[in-house]
Amino acid sequence: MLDVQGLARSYGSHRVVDDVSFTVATGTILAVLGPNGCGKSTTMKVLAGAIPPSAGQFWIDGEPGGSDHARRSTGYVPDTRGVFPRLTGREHLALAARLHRVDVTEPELDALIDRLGLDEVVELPAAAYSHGQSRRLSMAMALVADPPLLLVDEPFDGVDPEGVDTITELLVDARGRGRAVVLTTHLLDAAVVADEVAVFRGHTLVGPYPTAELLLEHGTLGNAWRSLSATR
Amino acid sequence: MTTQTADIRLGVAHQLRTGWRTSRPFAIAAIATTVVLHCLALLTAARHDAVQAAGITTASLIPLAAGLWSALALLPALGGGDSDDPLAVAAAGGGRSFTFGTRLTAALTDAGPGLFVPSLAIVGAAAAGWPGWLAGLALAWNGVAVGQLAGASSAILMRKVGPTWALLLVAGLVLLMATVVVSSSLGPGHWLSAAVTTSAYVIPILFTGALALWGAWLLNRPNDRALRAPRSIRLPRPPILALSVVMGAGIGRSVAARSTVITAALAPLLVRGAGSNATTAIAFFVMAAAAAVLGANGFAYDGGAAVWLLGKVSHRGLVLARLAAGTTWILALALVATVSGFLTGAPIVAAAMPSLVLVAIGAAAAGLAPSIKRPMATDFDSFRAQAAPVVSAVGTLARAAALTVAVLTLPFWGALAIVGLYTAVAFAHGLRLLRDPVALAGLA
Repeated sequence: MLDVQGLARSYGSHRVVDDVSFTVATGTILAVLGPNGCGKSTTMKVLAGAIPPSAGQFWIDGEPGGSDHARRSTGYVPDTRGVFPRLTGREHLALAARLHRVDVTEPELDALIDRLGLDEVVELPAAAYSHGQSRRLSMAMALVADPPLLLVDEPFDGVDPEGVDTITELLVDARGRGRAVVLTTHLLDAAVVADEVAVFRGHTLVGPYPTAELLLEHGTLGNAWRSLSATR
Repeated sequence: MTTQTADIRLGVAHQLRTGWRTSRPFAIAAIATTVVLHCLALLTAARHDAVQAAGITTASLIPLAAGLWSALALLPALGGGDSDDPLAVAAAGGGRSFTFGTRLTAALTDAGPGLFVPSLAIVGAAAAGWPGWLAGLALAWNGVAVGQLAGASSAILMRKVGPTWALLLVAGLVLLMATVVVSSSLGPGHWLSAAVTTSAYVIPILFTGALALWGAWLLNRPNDRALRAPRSIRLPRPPILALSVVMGAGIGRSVAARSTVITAALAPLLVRGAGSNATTAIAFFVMAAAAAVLGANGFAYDGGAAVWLLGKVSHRGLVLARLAAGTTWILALALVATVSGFLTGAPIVAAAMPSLVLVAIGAAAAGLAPSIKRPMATDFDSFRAQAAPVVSAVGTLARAAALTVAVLTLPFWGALAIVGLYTAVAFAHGLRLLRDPVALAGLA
């Protein structure tokens, strides 16, 4: 579903993502781990088509990254608040569906809204949302068109434990429907749902490795992260 | 009283310091340039055939400028800039006196309507020397004071009836006051005209200003958050159209933008009261002001979703939607101003209509780059907005003014070529900015 080859991105002369290559198959969750500033969010922005790569290529569903087809095949949850302050939650979801060129019925929208616990605020402008509610809304925007690839950047940031469980369940459900998921997070307890884990060493990605193997070898994902991210 | 005086002094000092820190010498030079541009725009407009056909002369620009100033002076109250962040002021424990001090000074330090203070003084001095200079300053003082009064009262209305009704009520009150003073020959334009010939008129202008400030002091309260469900919008099926509608809603639902509509409706009435009657000429000024507001805030209306959008639609589509939403909004404001003037009997100069459209496109294009690079958050739930970076505001206004001057002075096809070329350059520049994440810090 996602094939990344030699991806790099520089800001001016500063290279923040360097020679990143990996693939994600359908029905797979890949967790990307790494310290702040290693290039996780930049990688996600490039894969989402928000910014172009400085070097390298990637394909989504067989189409070149950044193409219209690739954009419509991707659900993206940015690491920022990611919502329009003056649009209501329901209008956010309607816009996301329009941009993905899919028709979503009101009952389908209501089900998603209810699942993410947004029913009480969905008719209010997003400026009234808490940080956690904004993250849930971002998640709903990524899921509303049920695209084959989900790029989920720090979805648990500022979300309460119940919300973490809900978002995790949604990601697992998406995997069950054959969707590919790339997840970045610092919440290692939640990252264990991933089938594979890749870790940033410097600005280059190491892996992916099967999660089960990493847990067997290192005991915890925290230990695996520290071991794999250490410069040798 | 001592504590209150100290608080006011502290508020004034805080605001001046904030203003200074956000401006710096370069920005001060830029402000000076903008003042000159204001005067240049007024004088250039007076030479335009369509404006001259409507009977406006350079001499009649004094009441025109005075009327315009009276309308613009309301902007700080109705959603113009404040150099401070209201939340930061609240966090600092600022009470009523502190807030009063900051708001009073903000009207002068912001790179917005406050710039008309020196403009009025310069125009007054050019027309009538020392008495004109004094009258201009007195009128500016009066405008700031009345603006503060409107701001304080609107803050209370916000809590009671919500933003839309509060705006309409304030607008109605302002209109009523304007009608009364115009019908009694004491309207803003008459004030200035009278003041430059009869120095005694300066006294009531200063006195009513002081009275307004006292009223503002009595009414000044921090705003509460007042969010309520807006009327939902229907999105068209084509993605770019849907995005344009969403961006338009983002603009239209901001209190700052709504207040600009009110100002657009009021401006012709106030200016007509001052003795000028070219509705289309007024629309030019309305669009220039709207361009400054839009250009300075632009992508802030999308909030953090701008990053999400970058991944959802092509950059070309994104900039196109922004340009479409901006142009539509600016044209809508011009329409409001034109209709408002027409309903009260002002003639519409049909020959100027193509120029109006050109200016609207140019003004939206002028704000494109800064709206991507340096968007500023507007305050959704009050009449206050964070001031745009001075460089953005001044740059946008300068470009919009330069394009307006070009449209007004060149033959139509020449103006079309200039605006078309500039829009193409702004479009390409916007696309280039979107490719550079470093330049997009404001979007995150």
